[in-house]
Amino acid sequence: MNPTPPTDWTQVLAQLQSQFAAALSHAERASGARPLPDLGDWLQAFSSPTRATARTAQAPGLAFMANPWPGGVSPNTVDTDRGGVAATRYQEALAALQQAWLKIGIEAWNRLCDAQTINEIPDDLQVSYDRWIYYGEQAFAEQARSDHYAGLVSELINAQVALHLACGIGNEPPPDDPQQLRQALAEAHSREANLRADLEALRESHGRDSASSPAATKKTRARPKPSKKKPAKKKVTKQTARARAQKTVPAETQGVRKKVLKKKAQDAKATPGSRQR
Amino acid sequence: MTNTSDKSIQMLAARLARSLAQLAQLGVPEIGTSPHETVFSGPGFRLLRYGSGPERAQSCPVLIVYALVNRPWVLDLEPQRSIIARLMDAGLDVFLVEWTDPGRDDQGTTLADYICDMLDQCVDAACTVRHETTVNLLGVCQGGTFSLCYSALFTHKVRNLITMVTPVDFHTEDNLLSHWVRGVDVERMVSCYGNVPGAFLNALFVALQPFRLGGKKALDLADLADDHDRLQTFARMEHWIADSPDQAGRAFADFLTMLFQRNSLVKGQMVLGGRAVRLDDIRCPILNVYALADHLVPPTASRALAQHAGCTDYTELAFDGGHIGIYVSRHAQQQIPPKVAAWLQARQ
Repeated sequence: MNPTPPTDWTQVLAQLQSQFAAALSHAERASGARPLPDLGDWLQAFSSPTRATARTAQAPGLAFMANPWPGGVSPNTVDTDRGGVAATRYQEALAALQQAWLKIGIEAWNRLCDAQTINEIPDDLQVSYDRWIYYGEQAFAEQARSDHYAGLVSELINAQVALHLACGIGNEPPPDDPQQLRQALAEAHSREANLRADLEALRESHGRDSASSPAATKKTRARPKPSKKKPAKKKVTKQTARARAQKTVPAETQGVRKKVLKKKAQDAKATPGSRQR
Repeated sequence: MTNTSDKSIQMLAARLARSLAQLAQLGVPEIGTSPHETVFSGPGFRLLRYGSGPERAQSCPVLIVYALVNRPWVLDLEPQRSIIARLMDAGLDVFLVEWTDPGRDDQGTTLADYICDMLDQCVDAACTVRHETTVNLLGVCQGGTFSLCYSALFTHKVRNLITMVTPVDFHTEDNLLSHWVRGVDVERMVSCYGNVPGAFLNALFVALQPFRLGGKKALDLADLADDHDRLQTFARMEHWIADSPDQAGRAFADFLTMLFQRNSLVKGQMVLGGRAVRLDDIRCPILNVYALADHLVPPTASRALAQHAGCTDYTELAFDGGHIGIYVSRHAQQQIPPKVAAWLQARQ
């Protein structure tokens, strides 16, 4: 039973995380150490769901999508008209994806709130972070597998490429020439016809050889209905594959597989906030 | 709660600051330090052989084919985390195909060039060095897909095939990356960039698990304060992750369209260099190693091989870990190389 009302502890936790971000920033400056890129942003994003709205686009792993010039690419010249259209498309694509990230961020936060309400709030701040990571990945995985999210990612990549092209980086692919496509198709049909003729000739030749060979005759007699076709490959189902694997896996390996599966089942039972090493 | 958590914050911040300071002092540690020599090279590749001494000739050989999208040094990250060193410990003569960075002139290099030409040259060279006519291939990740294609096309040159975290069916439901890139206009992308920037791909990989690979990794660094060895491992991993080579444009487009978008390999529609690639042409023994928690190549994508390969000697080995853990975790070091070596040695 958790004595702290959810809204109170949420505020406390948010405040503490914000303090941690500030403490980290101070520590980085004081030590003169190489800062971890984006960690400050990451912590700020975690400090409250409303601030996450503004900061998620800069979170690690997502930042590349908010950067129109990845990989050291830079604009050369900008075709103003084309550039304007491409820039608008890019901004719209980015905004749509940011909206999806916001949804994921809020969902992760809500799940964390629920979990912290049901379970005891840990004193160790890192355990709370780990829980948040767990629920974040969970919410992300659900969204990221949707056709909608996939469409947002691919549109942003396409929009970014369009923006670069509009800025004079690289070349547009040459347009397909209908005449050339028709010719290529005709050539492909011709090749297919030749291959079919070769195959037919091979079959006929094989049939003649089989008929004239004594061994083949013997085989034919032994098998009432010989097929000239290549025997159909035995369909390997998951079950047969598994049986085959078990048959061929060394005993030692089988033991490992069993252990692996057992371990996985144990892991599945572990609490989401448990530390993973 | 506030006082306790205040203290917790201060302690965590202090530990993290100490880790950062120690990390900054480390610089960039060396990776890929197992002794090796270049036995053959050509445009776009080098063939390395590990170890030394005449006893190598008596060992069972294996040719590792790594992916284009990262450096192979993750297989030899440091002495205690080296799949390559453990394979040698287990009695194998290890060769590795190292793909070199594409230049501007390599934008037109095709997937067929990599598989049917460069890899074929490496196989021939390894055979020559070993005075043998066939090789044992160990394909890793994308390199596993290369190895499958090669084994289907050059059946007479491959004695045994091991695939490790290898995508075969690219359209399984849980394949996030494939789902995302199906709508990408690849031809336009390649026309724009020529060679596709490695940083772009790298960021895309990180975006597959943004919370874990972003926030968690950074905060876990706090636990490494005053632990020199683990900080070094962290620095090496970060160095490897960030060091992604650019991708030859045409080959990238081929791989993305044929496999990620059309899933041609399992549909039997893949064509390389004018030749159809059919998985059921692979008759050599196969060991398929996959990781149960692989976010990049889900087990379903790898295990589809059982349905499509033409061999009768097919073995699966599951590893309880992720796509990177299978190369560098202590558990993997103990488990994978000895099993791979034993499987190979039983089939020599």
